[in-house]
Amino acid sequence: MVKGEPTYHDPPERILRLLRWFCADDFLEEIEGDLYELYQEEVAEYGLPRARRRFFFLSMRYIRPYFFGKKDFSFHFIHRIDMIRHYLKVSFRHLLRQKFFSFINILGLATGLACCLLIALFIQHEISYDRHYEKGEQLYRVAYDYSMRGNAGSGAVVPTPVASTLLEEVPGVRMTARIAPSMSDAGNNQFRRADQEQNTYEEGFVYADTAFMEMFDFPMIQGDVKTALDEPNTIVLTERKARQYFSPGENPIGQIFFLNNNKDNPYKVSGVMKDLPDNTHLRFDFLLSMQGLEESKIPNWNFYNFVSYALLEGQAELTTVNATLNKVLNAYVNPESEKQAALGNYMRFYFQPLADIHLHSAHIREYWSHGDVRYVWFFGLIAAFILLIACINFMNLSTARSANRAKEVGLRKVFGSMRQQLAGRFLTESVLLSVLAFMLSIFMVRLALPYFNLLSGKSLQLPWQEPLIIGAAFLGVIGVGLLAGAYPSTFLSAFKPIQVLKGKLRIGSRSGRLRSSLVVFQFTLSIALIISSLVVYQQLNYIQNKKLGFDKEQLLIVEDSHTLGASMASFKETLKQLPEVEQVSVSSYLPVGGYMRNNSSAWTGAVETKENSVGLAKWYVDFDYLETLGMEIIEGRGFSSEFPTDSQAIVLNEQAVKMLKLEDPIGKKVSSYTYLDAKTGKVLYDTYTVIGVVRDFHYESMKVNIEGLSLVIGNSMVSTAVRLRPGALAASVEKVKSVWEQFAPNQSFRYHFMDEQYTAMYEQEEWIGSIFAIFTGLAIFIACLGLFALAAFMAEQRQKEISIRKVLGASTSSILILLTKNFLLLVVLAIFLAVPLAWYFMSAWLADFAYQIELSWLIFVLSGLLALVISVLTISYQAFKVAFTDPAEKLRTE
Amino acid sequence: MKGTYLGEFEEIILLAVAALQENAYGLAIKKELEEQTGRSISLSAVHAACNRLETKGFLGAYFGEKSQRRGGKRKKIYRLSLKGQQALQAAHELRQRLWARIPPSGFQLDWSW
Repeated sequence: MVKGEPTYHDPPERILRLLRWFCADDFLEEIEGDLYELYQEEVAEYGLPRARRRFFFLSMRYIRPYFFGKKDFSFHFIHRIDMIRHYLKVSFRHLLRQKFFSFINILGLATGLACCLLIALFIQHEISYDRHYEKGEQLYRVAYDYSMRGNAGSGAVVPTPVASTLLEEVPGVRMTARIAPSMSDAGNNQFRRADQEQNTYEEGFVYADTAFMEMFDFPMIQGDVKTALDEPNTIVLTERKARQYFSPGENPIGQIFFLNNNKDNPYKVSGVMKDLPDNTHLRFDFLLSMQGLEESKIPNWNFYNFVSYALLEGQAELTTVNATLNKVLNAYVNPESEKQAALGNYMRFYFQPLADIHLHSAHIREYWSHGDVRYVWFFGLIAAFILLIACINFMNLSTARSANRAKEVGLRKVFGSMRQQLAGRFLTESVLLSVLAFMLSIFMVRLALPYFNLLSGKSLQLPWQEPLIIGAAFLGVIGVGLLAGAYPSTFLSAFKPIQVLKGKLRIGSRSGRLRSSLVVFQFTLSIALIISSLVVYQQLNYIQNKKLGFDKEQLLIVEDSHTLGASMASFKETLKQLPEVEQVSVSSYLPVGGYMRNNSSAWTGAVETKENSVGLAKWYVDFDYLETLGMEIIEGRGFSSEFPTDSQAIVLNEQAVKMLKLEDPIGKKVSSYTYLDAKTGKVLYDTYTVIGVVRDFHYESMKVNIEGLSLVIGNSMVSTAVRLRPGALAASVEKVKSVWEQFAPNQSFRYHFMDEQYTAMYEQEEWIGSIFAIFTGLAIFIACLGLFALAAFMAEQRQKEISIRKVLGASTSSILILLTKNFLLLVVLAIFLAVPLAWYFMSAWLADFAYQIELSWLIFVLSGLLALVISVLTISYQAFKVAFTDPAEKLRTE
Repeated sequence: MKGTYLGEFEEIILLAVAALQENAYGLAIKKELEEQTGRSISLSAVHAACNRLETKGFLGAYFGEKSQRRGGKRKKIYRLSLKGQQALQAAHELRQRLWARIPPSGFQLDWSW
């Protein structure tokens, strides 16, 4: 440092800025200079920190009106509270005086808010999936996209050795585990304690590796999360199942259970875990140890039956890990990947983050069904629409009735009210209104939530215990109030007092054009919603009634027939003897979602080559299958026990014939894989003779095309399909039940009707359709509330005009036309805007279905008419009221 | 405020300005007063009072040179105006008149009550 040139310390800039903000400019130079000088001395005396503190307090002492100069802060600090109190009081009085309009405003806004709250709850639940696992950020599932020989798709069920290979060969993978939800004892079973006789049908058995529980860190009630599944034939129960099978004093650990009466393969309880929460993609109640499953130990790269999870190192880079993963797995699964890629065939493996599984797996075929992120967006959009419609109501009513407020505004201005104060006054009113509406909407949501849960199959609750969410909702409501009040308050506060008080302001007409366009906007949205829900309804109806290629009516399915074991055949025969029964077939493969599926390569030549092999579904059925299900043979014949060679016969569907490129299929040889030899790990195959071609029938959801399918004779006995003769259904079911109880006295009789099963496949579409229809109804309701109030207001304003017209001889009908014409024009305009909008969105939705309806003009016309009729009804009440009033009544005072 | 009446604080500020002459700016006035009165006086009070006295015409003011020591700001240096001098004079005379009115026994304490 050069002597004689002392360094100066700059006081804190932020405090200076504050000082400059509140202090009038006239004083600043003097004050800043003196403070600066003093600061230098104080730094020397007290040190920097203390000097800074003192500087702050010294500066704060300038906060006094004298130094503010001409800036008037008194408005901000002193009168605010009083003014707000005053605004509230005036707003309340106003609401009470205008009961009708207040009611419509609050009801509309409350309905809108209630819809929003419900949808927000739903969305919040959907995005909360799988976010609660402690290591969730590093947990991934192996998934893949593929395109092979014309078949393309995505999957999350991978071959046996994937998990172990990843652990060894992919750096960054710390831990892996597999689960198998649908083989051997997994899936659904008859279940009983070894010391009890009665079986119970239970769902949700899953094989899991030992590491699975540790990776997800399931909270345990009994047993150790790291070792519970170490030994073969151990089972972990969830808490609710443990409660179901054990009385409170009993210790479940070490107890023995039998599955499907199989005493050779008992399971020992080794742990009890807490129930899985609602919001996880995993769904099971029983974890079986993978150690006991022989197939899980054979490294077979063609055995796609395992869902594999991996725990990555914290710092692992996902893109590089994915690249390695893809390379490593392709080396095993698709060894000629480069050659295949030239043909357009590929396999692409990747890690799917745990949190993505629920919402981003709609395209992935797997055991558990998931939500769909598109529906989350879709509902969010509807919520926004409805809220917007409700807010527009508020705006329209406020501006329309501005004439009534104009005098108030004028007077307030004359008495010195500033524009921002007036705006504040109107904003207070709208916020007050929205808070009232919010309270009402909470009440509505409480009433509606049980029904919503019933429809959606979820168990949502109002999150009272989370003050954060309630607080956010409340802030949101105040936001809505400000939004809805923004336009009216600027509009109303801009009135010129002289004009208003002289009565020059044309009543409510200044904002007429804007109001009209808002009404058009509202109705565009509403009509688009009507069209959409009609399309959804039609499509669902179409799916339900489309010709399936088999007969789903009068078809009873008896489940768990495999537990009958050796007495299976006589059970079938006894059923056939019943007069109510037409035909019986035993098979695990049924043409509706939720039953067994099996895919295999099939080829026509002597050996399988890349060129001649195609992927076909391969179902094992019995001789009566085609007849029982009412499928149609279009070429050749069906299976028959009269031909002993039929054990080596195969029936193809039309699609399969096309895929195999068979010109004249009957008598041709087709080979396909049969089963896996557990000892050698080799896959065996059989060669069949084609005896018939069955007409294509739908066996999966309408969202997918009918794929190639082959049927062969074989033993698969999980379900028994019973074709009933027309007649009293309930009595027939009773008969079948009595036969069942005769053969399986300790086992509950489980049955379905095929058509119900079929409907269940579209459960999601079904509930989304209903919710959609309901929200559409609400949207149009809110829009009509607004229209109703607007019409009421217009009618009231034009009372005198109408009366004079009547006196001069106008007919009732001409007055009705006069009053409704303008509104109806708006609705017609809205129809023309809504049609292309709805058309665009609905074509996108329909594109999801492989089998879809045509978007016919009839739907659009129908929706338009519906909207017109509803709005005519809404308006005409007011119009009639005015048209029929005695003109003398209104004119008497003049 | 009416006439030339001065408050106590105003009066001592005027006196300090008169005493400090060419060096009569906010901080210096504050220090002078603290030294002389022995009480702690806030800078903002001094500033407010000086500016008020200026608008009332008791003080005049001009800006000095910019200085690094003041963060590049000028000093606002106050000077007693004629009106200020008269007010001080008047206040002083008033006091003297009042002092003169006190009888010689005026300060004797009366313990009788």
